[in-house]
Amino acid sequence: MIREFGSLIVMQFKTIRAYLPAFIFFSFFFPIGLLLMLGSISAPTSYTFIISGTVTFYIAIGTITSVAQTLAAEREAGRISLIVASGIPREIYVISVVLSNGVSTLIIVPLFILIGVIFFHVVIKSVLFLVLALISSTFMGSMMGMDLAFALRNTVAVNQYSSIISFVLSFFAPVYYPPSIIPIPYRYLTFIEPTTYVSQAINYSFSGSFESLMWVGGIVAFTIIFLYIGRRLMERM
Amino acid sequence: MDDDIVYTNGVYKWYGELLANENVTIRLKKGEIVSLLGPNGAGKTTLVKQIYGEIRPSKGEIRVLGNKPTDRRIKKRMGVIPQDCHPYGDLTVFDNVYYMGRLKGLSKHEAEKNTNQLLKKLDLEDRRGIIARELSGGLMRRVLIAMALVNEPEFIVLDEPTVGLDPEARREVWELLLELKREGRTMLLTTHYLDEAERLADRIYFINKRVILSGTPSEIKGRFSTIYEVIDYSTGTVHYVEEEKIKEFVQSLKGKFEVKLPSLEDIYLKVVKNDS
Repeated sequence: MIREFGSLIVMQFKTIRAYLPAFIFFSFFFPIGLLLMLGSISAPTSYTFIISGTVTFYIAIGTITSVAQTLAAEREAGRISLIVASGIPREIYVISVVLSNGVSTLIIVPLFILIGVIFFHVVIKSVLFLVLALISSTFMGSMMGMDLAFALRNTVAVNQYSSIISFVLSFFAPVYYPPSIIPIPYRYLTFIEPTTYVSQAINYSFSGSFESLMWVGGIVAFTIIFLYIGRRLMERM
Repeated sequence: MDDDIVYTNGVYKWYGELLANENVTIRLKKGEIVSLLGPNGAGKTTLVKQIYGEIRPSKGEIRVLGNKPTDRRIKKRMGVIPQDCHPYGDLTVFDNVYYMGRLKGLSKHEAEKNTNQLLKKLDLEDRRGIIARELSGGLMRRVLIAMALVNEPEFIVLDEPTVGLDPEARREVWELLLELKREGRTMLLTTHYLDEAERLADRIYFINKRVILSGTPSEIKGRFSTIYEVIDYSTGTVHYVEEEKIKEFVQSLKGKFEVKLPSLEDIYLKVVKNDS
């Protein structure tokens, strides 16, 4: 099974070649442009949020949108059936899609952090907390994308909603600023948005605060919920 | 039952309240091509998915190559082309076939050897480096057939393998399937093209949630042959004549004529209509 899983991963990465122009634009130029633009119009006290917010936005696009659209396309092209018929369990195939998307998202993140360090003088006091926040966020976003792909039968709907949800969760949630800015009772609503937890976990990791782990706990809770929903949706297929 | 490649016994499948298969019992023997015929929504694909182990029956038993089809080892001995399936558009023709071989448990050497042999056999050698999405519908279907054959399967499942193809591409796929049949492969084929079933299948099951009729194409035709279609070419007229009067009738004709049994399509329409 390990050998077959390795082949699946290689296949997934080979298919990325076809999307190279979009991958390069959305992975490099778009977030870098966004980082530099936001940095130039913000006060230095907001710099850590500009980094954590942009990384959150990037993770949302790279996982929720990307995983949902990839899985929906695979289902429409009959390839989930094709792979299951070859003896690979459906869950393993889904994990290979999730993993390849996750890895291709995560490998770009150090670049954003580096820009933060060089241009905005952001100091990272806990690399461990940062790594934990990034890995848990990527996995959680991927699970959410998987749920979207399996909950909606129409591929066009999956494509639309996965993009809308990523943008809503990036710009209608406190990812570029702390939740404390939002007045109560609206602040409570932001706690049902998973991206709130992602951005806060990343942000607190810069200062090395243990509060980062508390937010990671929230991410893990969302992951468990999305995993459970995904499991139920897969059984329904 | 022991020498059956596929054996289903009293299979039921429900999706919630919806009954997709009702008490389906079918058999496939070694070297046979068996075709499942039925209208849209008749439960053909649902049955086929249970046979290749993608979904489980709600009730009843399915055995493929002597074991449960959900068994991974059994799946590795099968070749499947699911309905509406496309090869990986962003992989080359070679990679599509090679990686399917790897997924089916072949070593690098075996997968490479089998892929090269199949590309040659299926006339895809010149296109081995081409990205699959650039191929025509007929060539994509050939790639899928190569993907299904790369592990040298004992049993092949083809769910509507020619749907959406132009007549020439359909014929090409037929020729390939007939060649596989000559090699002694066992195949289960779903289609709603009656000419396809008649041309390729040794036995046919008419399915409309349950099996409504089964037999060889000639047996089925024979069962419905009480009335013959007689075309009188000298006058261009068509006559429908009862079996007992056929001799007398053709003797009365002056010019050239043709006597035909009812077509499979006539029978299909009749039995499906009666069953609805």
